[in-house]
Formats: sequence, C-alpha cells, structure tokens
Amino acid sequence: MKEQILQILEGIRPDVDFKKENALVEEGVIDSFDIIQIISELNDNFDVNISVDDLLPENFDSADAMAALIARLQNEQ
Amino acid sequence: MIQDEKTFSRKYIKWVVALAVLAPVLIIAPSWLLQDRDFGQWEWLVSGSQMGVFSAPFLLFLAVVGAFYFYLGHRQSSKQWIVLLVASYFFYATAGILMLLPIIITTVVTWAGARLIEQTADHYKSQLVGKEFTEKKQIREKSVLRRRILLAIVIVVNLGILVSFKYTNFVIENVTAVTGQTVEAIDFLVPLGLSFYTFQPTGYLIDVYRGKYRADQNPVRFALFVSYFPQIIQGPIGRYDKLAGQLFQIHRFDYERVKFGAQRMLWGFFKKLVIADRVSILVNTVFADFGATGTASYEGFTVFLAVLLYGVEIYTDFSGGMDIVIGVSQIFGIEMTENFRRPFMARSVAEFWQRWHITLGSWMRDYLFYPLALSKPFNNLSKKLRKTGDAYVAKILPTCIASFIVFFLIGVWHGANWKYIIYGIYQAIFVSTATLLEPFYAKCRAFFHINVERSGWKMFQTLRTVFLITIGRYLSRANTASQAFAMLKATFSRFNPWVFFDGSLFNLGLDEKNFRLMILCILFLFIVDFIQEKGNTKNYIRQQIAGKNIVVRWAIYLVGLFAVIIFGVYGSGYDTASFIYAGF
Repeated sequence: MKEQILQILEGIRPDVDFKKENALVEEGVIDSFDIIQIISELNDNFDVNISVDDLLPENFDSADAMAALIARLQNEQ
Repeated sequence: MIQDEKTFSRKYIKWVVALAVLAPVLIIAPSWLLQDRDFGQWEWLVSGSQMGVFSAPFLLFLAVVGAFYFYLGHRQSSKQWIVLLVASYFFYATAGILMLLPIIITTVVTWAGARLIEQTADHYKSQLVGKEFTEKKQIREKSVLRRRILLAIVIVVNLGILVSFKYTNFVIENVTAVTGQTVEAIDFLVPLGLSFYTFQPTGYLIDVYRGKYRADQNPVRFALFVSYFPQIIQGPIGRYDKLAGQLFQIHRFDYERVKFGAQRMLWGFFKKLVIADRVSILVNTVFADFGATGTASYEGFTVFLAVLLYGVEIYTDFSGGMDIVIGVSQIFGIEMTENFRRPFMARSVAEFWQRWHITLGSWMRDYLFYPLALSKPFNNLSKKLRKTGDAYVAKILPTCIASFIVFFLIGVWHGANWKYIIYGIYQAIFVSTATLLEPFYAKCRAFFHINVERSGWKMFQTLRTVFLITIGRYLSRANTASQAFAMLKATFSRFNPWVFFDGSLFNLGLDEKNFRLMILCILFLFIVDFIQEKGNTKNYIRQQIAGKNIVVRWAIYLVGLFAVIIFGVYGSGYDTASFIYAGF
C-alpha cells in the first residue's frame, strides 16, 4: 500500500521527497490545495472516505501516517 | 428507526432555524432601544474608554497583574490562572461593563455545547460494543446527526451575535437604497474584538465535535480561554490544544523569558509608535483629500506611494500589536501562535495571505475551506467534471471554488461594505486562479525561457506581489469603493516621476526631516525582516544580540527604547490607543 501512496503523492508534488519527509503538514511542505488533492486520490484508489474529522496533521505528516489512516478506515467500513 | 431519526431531525432543525432568527433579534432589539439614551450616572455601564495597550494605565495594569501573577507562581499556587481571568474581565470591562454580556453568552453557550456534544458521542460509543455491523452503522449515524444539530445551534448563536452586530446596518443601508424607504441605521455599541473572540471558541467547539480533544469540564477555566486579555482585541486567534494547557500551568518568574518578552514589546512599540503612527499622517492626508471633495489635488506616483505606505502602516500597526500581545504573553510564560511571517517577502498573492494574519487564514482553512472542499456537492462536481472535461481542471476546480468562497468571506469579515466585498473577490481571483492556470503559466515561462531559480525572477515575483497587494489596498483603505476607483484613476492617468525629486512629497503632512526618518525606519524594518527570513529560526536576532557582551547589548536596548520615546508620534488629538484591526 505504501508504494501506491508514494506514487500518488509524487504525482501531485514531484518536487517533494515523500520517502524522507515526516512533517509534511507540520512544517508546511504541502499546502491545503495539495491536501485536498491527496485526499481525493486516496479516496478513489483505496475506496475509503476520508472525512474532515480525519484531517489532523498527524494523519498526513508522512506516507506511513497516511497508510495507517487508510488501514484504520478500511477496518471501520 | 429511520423514521424516528427523520422526525427527530425535523423537530430540531425547526429549533435551529428559530434560534437563527431569534438570536439576532434578541441582540439587535436592546441595542436599538438603548441607542441615544441618556444614562446619566449609569453611563459607565455601557461605555468607557477601552484601556489602550500604549497607554500608561495599561503598563501600570500590567505591573499590578504581573505582581499578583508571579507572587502566586512563586508560591506554586494552582490558582495562578485566576489572576489572568480577573485581569481579562477587568481589561475588557473598561470599555463598559455591559460589553461583557456577549462574551459571557458566547462562553457559556460554547462550553455547554461542547460538553453536550461530547456526552452524546460517549453515549453512542458505549452502545457500539458487541453490536452487528448494520446496527453499528445506524448508531453512528444517529450519533453524528445529534452532534451536528448541537453544533449547528451553538454556531448559530455565536455567529448570530457577530453577524447581527456587524451587518445589520449594511442591510438597512441597502434596503434604503433599493426601496427608497428611509430606515434609520442603529447606533450599535459593538463589543470590542468581537470579530476575533468569536472565532477562538467556535474553533474549539468544532474540534470537540471532530473528536480532536476532550471538552473542558470547567466553565470558569474555559472563560479564561475565551477572554485572555492580551489577545482579545485583535488576536492572534488561538487553538485550545495549544493555548489552554499553557494558561493553566504554573509559571514562575523567569528572567530570560521576561527579558525576551519585554524586548518583543519594545519592538512592537517601535513599529506602532515610530513607524505606523508616523506613516499614517501622510496616508491620511492623501486619502482625506479624495474623501472630502471628490476633486483631488494628488495624482500619479503621489497617490500610489500613499497607498503603498498604507500597506506599511497596516503591517506595522497590526504586527506591532501582535508583538505586544506575544511579548506580554511571553512574560507570563505563555507562548502564542505567530500571526505574521514577513508578508512582504511573499512571491505570490496566495503566499502573501499565508504570511499575513496567519491565525485567521488557518482558522478559515481548517473550519471552512476543508469542510467545503471535502463536502459531497464539491466531490460530486469533481466527478462530473472528470467525465466531461479536462482531468486537471476536474481535479482542481472544486478546490478553487472553495478557496474563492473563503477569500470572499474573509473580505466580508473585515466589515459590511461593498468595498470589502470587491476586495474579497479581488484577492480570491488571484488565489483561486493561480493553481488553476498553473499549466498555462508554466507554458508561458517556458516560452520566454524564464529560469525560475534565478534571483532576478524571484525579485520580480516579490515586486509583482507587492504591486498586486497594493492595488487591493486602495479598496481596504478608501471610505467607499467609488473613492477607491477614483484614486486608482488618479494614479494611472498621470505619469509624474518628478514628485520624488521636487520635494512635493514633503507637503503631505510630514516635513522633510520626518519623511526621511520614516523612510529610514522602514528600511530598518525590512532589513530586520530580511535577516529573520534568512536566519529562519525563532528569536534569531534576539539570540544574536544576547550573544554580544553586556555593553553592546544594553547599548542596543537603550537605543531602541529612546528611539521609541523620542521618535514616537504622540500628536495631540491623535489616538495612539487605536489599532486598525481592532475596528474589524
């Protein structure tokens, strides 16, 4: 799953090294427009529904965090 | 079950709507009845002169509060925060005791609402244990619905207060203009800082609704979070999870921290008294000329310079105020969120707004932009577009629309006036089209062989941003939209570069000496900003100064102090107590 997430992220922001970054939101590496794009791609690709309530920095600070979020949402549904 | 939910929600939606109608009426009616009344000996209940942070009484007040605060801190008293609460209510009540009423309503309603939302969530969560999948889903839906209704009620009350105070007269004016019927405007006593203190508790409420943290159990503690006095007039808009914990911790006197806080305050005083209040004299001269007769004597570069300087004025005024708020808090041991990050170094309009009034922008992002952009209608729009049109546009357009709405509302937040509506739309156009048209811009850059990494290009971007922001400032400073357009016309219909050399700039309220001093101080300000931008660490310059030996260090502090005392503008009749943003 992580590989697929990385691919999505790099498609949206080719200039960011998502393998290394682990404070994407906290340090402002990605902005709000990126986040909306990321969410819509993740929703489509993993068939989940990421809602506003999940929009905490710790859920989007790294590719790992996003993978964990998706896994949790897939379990709930 | 489903039928149950429908009647339930119908019943409550009625209540929400009723409240939405009733809340403004309840607020407007007393204001309407009380206007122009002679209160005689009770006058102090409704009006007073708000203690300005640049006044001697404020410094005295601060000293008294500090003495009590650190005395309790020294005794490790867990009641230390009560000093801040009493101080906050006292500070606020200097504007008239009745002014406390709206803030108390907001406090009580938000506190209770958050508790109810949390109890609802807990109640339904406890029912989930051991249930089947479909049953779980139903319980979750029920929980969401009930919490949503509670959330809506509290938001309606809080924003109802804000909207009725700020926009009633705008509605009256326009109704009058359209129908020809004369309805008299209401002379409101608008609570100070209303536009700021409404946001902080509302953000808290939404966070509790989203389950980000637990609701505060104690209404008195929560009252301090809403009313904390340094920030109540003009922000920064704080977040509960960052601020509340600090407010209730025990803080002992810490010399280093108090010193840094005092320095930060001094820097704020310099920005406000030496730069902002000096620049405002020139700015007011030019704008007043257009406001009075309509046939103005200023044109071309003179007007543009005045508006450009207005940008500097509002920056030093607002960020200087923030320096004082953050400095005072630092003395108390409370770290506030920064509200500015050197906006004039921005390379696009969008970036400018990410660096200007940061806490309002991030509030709007978290509580308005995200919910909008992720909402069902926006999602559906994106899906529809993907079927019919360009993939990039489909992906970006809904987000752009959401950001357009947000910027429009930020414009309107500044005040009820057509000029702010146009102002909001103007900013929104740049921000929302920047991403949408990026592929086109990229093609243009490639066509002209522009190397985006070159410093010349970056410099051009910065200047372009300053120019676009300045054009917007015509609207935010002029009295009306038509005055702003008259001034724009006067600016661009005449090319008069000689005004920079023939001394005519010294006739705009500031004599040659003061004009040169102003330019010098502004240059100094931007050099400091530039060093901070490069240094890119918190307190960078202060740490550099702290590293020098004692003589150099104190020489710098004293020069700063005397600069404020000697060069500060304290003209008679000039009210240094008022901040521009306190009026929004």
